[in-house]
Amino acid sequence: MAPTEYQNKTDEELAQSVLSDANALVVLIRRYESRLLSYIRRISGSSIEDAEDILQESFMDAYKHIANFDPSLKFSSWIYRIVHNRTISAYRKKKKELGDMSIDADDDAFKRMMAANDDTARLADQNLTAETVKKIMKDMSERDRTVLILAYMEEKTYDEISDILRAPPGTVATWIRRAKQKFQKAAIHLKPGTNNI
Amino acid sequence: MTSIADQFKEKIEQGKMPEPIPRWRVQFKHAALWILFCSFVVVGTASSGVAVWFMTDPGGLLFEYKNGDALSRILDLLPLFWILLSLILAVGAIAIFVHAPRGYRHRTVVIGGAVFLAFIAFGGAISATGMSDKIESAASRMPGYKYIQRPRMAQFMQMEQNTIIGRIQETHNGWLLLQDPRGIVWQVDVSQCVSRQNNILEPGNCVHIIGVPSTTVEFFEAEQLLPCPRGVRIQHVQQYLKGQVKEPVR
Repeated sequence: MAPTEYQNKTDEELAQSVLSDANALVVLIRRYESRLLSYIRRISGSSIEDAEDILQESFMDAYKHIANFDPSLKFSSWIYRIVHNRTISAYRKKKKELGDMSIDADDDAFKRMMAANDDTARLADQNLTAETVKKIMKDMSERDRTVLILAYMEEKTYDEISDILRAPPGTVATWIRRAKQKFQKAAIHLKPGTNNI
Repeated sequence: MTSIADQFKEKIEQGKMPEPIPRWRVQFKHAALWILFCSFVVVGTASSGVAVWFMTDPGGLLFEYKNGDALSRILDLLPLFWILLSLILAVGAIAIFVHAPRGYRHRTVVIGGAVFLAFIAFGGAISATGMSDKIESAASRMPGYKYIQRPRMAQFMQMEQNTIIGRIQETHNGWLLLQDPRGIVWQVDVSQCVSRQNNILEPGNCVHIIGVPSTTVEFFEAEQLLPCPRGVRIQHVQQYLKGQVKEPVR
């Protein structure tokens, strides 16, 4: 099939075509490359080069194990899971803690996180900057940081996060609620104008 | 800088991509896991059925042959082999389900609870339908099972304590002749005996007699007459004892 004919296909249809034609993978990579790079950098704070290496290995993993993909699941959840696991294991192998998350000052994602509920929205009004968010996120545990990024920056639903992190949706909801509380608590201490930053 | 998509495209064109794992292998692995899961559930349910059957044996529960503490009595009566087998298979089934493609969507504690409840409920049903007897009887033909069964049977053959099992040979007014698994024929005085079953005093029946501790060979004074405890089969006991027992001393 010509690559142009793949453009109208859904991710799940493309994933099923990969076994018979590897070119379908190229279309999928084009669709996901930039957002997965951002995701890797957000959860690991790695350099662009490191993130690209991780992503390349992740796509290679996905290609090798494409027969494992369950078409009743979303392809995006499946590829996020592979990328997530690759990122975490890459950093664990290096016995290195995850670095600062990477957020650009004009990145709207962190504002979405701020607007997640009334209290944090109020903090956002008080000029909680991208730098402050980075600092708060850096001090959070790996899991808290990951669920907040997936929920508010990657805008994944609870079910999608459940599929990515392989945890029950109820547990994911609890993790997000607790992470939000921790974030709010830290944001109150770190908001501009106080001496804590 | 070349994008990752372009790098992959180049690799595909140059034929440098590795072979992906074929779908049949993944399907085979999934099928094997589900077959293993179903086997664990079926055998585990059957085991728990046998365990329930042993634990609800009225003869076993009424067994008062020694003055040990309650805990040691309970431990003696518990069919530990069947309970352990059920537990191992339940844990195996839970582990397979948790690691199944969609298993993570359920809490492990919920899966565990469901598996244990299913084992107990279906085990109870198997026991109630009388299937447990057949399962245990089939298991008793397996090599090695005698090592599990023998200590249990030995508990009921302690005349000096107050218990004996055997097959009724003849019944008379106030006494009967009982052949124990070793072939020794006992005269049992049943004149003071309480029987819990009306037709228990039939020749050929396997019975469990609780009475006065006997110091006299071939004579036993019965107080309670019960059917043989579940899982005790005279013919099996005889097989086990064959070759081990010398001629009875008269």
